[in-house]
Amino acid sequence: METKEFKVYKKSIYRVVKDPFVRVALKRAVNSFRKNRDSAISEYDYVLEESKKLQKTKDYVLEHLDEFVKKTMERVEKNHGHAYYAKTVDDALRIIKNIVGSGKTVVKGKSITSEELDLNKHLEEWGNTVYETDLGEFIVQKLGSRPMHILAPAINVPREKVAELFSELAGKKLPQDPAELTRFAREFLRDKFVNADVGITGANVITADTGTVFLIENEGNIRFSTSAPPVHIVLVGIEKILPTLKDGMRMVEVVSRYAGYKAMAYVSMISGPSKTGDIEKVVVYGAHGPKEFHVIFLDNGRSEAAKDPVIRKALQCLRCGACMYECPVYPITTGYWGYKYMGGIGIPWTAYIAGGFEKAAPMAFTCTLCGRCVKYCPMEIDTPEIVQHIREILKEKGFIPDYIKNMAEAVLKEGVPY
Amino acid sequence: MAKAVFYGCTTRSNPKLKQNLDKFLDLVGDEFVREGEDICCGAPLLLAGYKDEARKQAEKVVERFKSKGIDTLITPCPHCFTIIGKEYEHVLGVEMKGIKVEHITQFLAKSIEEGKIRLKNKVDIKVSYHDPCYIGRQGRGIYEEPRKVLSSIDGVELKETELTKDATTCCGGGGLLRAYLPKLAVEVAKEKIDSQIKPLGVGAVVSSCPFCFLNLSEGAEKSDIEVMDILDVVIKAME
Repeated sequence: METKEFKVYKKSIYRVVKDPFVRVALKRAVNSFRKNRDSAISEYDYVLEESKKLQKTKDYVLEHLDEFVKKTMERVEKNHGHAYYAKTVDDALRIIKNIVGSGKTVVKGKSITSEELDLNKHLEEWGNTVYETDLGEFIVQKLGSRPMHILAPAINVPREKVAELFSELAGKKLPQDPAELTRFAREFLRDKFVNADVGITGANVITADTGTVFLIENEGNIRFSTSAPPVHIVLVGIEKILPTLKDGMRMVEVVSRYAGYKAMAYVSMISGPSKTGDIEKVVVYGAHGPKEFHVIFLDNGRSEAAKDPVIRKALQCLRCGACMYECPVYPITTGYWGYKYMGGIGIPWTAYIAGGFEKAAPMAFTCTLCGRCVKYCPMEIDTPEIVQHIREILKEKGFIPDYIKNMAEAVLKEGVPY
Repeated sequence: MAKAVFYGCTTRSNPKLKQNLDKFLDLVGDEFVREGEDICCGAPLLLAGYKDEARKQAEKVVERFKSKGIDTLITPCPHCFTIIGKEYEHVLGVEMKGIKVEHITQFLAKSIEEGKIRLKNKVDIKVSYHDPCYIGRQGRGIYEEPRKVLSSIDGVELKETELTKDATTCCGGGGLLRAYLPKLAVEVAKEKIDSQIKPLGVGAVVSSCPFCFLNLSEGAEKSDIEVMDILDVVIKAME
């Protein structure tokens, strides 16, 4: 018998496949993504070589993950930051609760890693007010929905719907104009940054040699969230560690080009709390930026995943999102083909990190194994190979759609499936 | 040593595709052992995660051919082609014992070149070609052969889509998606027809995979695009 997950999932997929708004929004997004990506990569064509070097580096780190976690944590502490290792989601939540407490205002930068924790829900349960500050995430938060793409969380929400949502927040009718709607979000969030007690972000990279957190963005919300509040908490998946600052720069170039950007407006590199020695060379922590800098290294299944050489490759994902735009299926399903992580690459991430095999099962049978994502992945992650490997585990666990199971059984009994 | 045509379960169980293949074999006139009535290549097992069972199936298949003295297989199915020709050895660790596999488009291209197939009729159609993932990107990079076949036929005008050869977008029929979420699979095909094929102003899209044929056909139901198998076109030129 197939699990209930298969039926629930099928229903949600069949609901979205007929949604004309989603189709139009995605068609536009895919077309402009392809143009931008092709032009970014052809102008900076050395990035092709750089991505190969980065693959090797990430390979090495993932094979020596424990060592690198230890080294990076030590460096953060040396930089007068606080480093924590969170084996599980519960560990991470306990650590964050201890730092944030209750009755605080929290501003957040976009972080899929924080979705693993259902962080917003918990922060609110503890009595805090949370503002997502990335425009897409802000929309998603106000809709009470979840991110539908790794880079563009509100990719499936057309402007008409955003206008309706923001008009409600503004208490007046706002036009269906992206510029006007962006201006509203800017005004709405401005004082939240300034008055926030805590800023929480993810990280694109953290480097072992300098303990530097890299944050790549275009909106400027991360700059604000990491410099205005007195406390900055970074939640970083341990697979994001790179050995050196130079590797970090390489990652910035590779991920930006593959995500379709010739230049990211902002790359923040943060290596500790703000400080000054301007009065008699006495070092004081907490100048204009945060006084406290906390880095939580989240494992949550990553170490285990790294032990399996096939799955380990999935941990190299840079989150550029190219595979999703280039997938034949994702533009039709969007993030409904997903749980916390979505699309083909979301299958190993769901199975091993956020969700488990039962949740990953229907996702694994949504991939056509066509291999198009491999061609466009800067890390050349062979998602079909990974998905095939996961299907073998799912078979052992009994998480297979009935029809497919019957077909396989027919081959075993009759010699042919039909 | 003998040559065999391996139908593949999907071609065999579709009346139109099977009839076409039989007709083509009659027209060619070569002696082929016809195989695949009662034996599957094992691809559905492998794709469903039954790796050990797929290995046993692969051994059975190799044994069957060996016992009949078959050293060359020709198949119209990209999935049979790739699992037998590539994954038996590399994924399942099954020795091929000298058996070679050809996709029908390779056989066609070679036979045309050697003059064994005579494409005597003019076939006036404007078509696009859909590259099946499992002979191309996931298979052995077979891109030129089917194009060579189509361009050898008088009257056939081939218009390429932007995303072609190793950049081809899957029709939605692969990876057992059609078995679990058939409506989604068809929607993927429909999207391909609407956004890539229709704007070319062609009358038909030709493929060389039974899954692509079935899935694209359903996806094209409400359009005026005809979905053809490459043998459809070849037979028209030969008869």
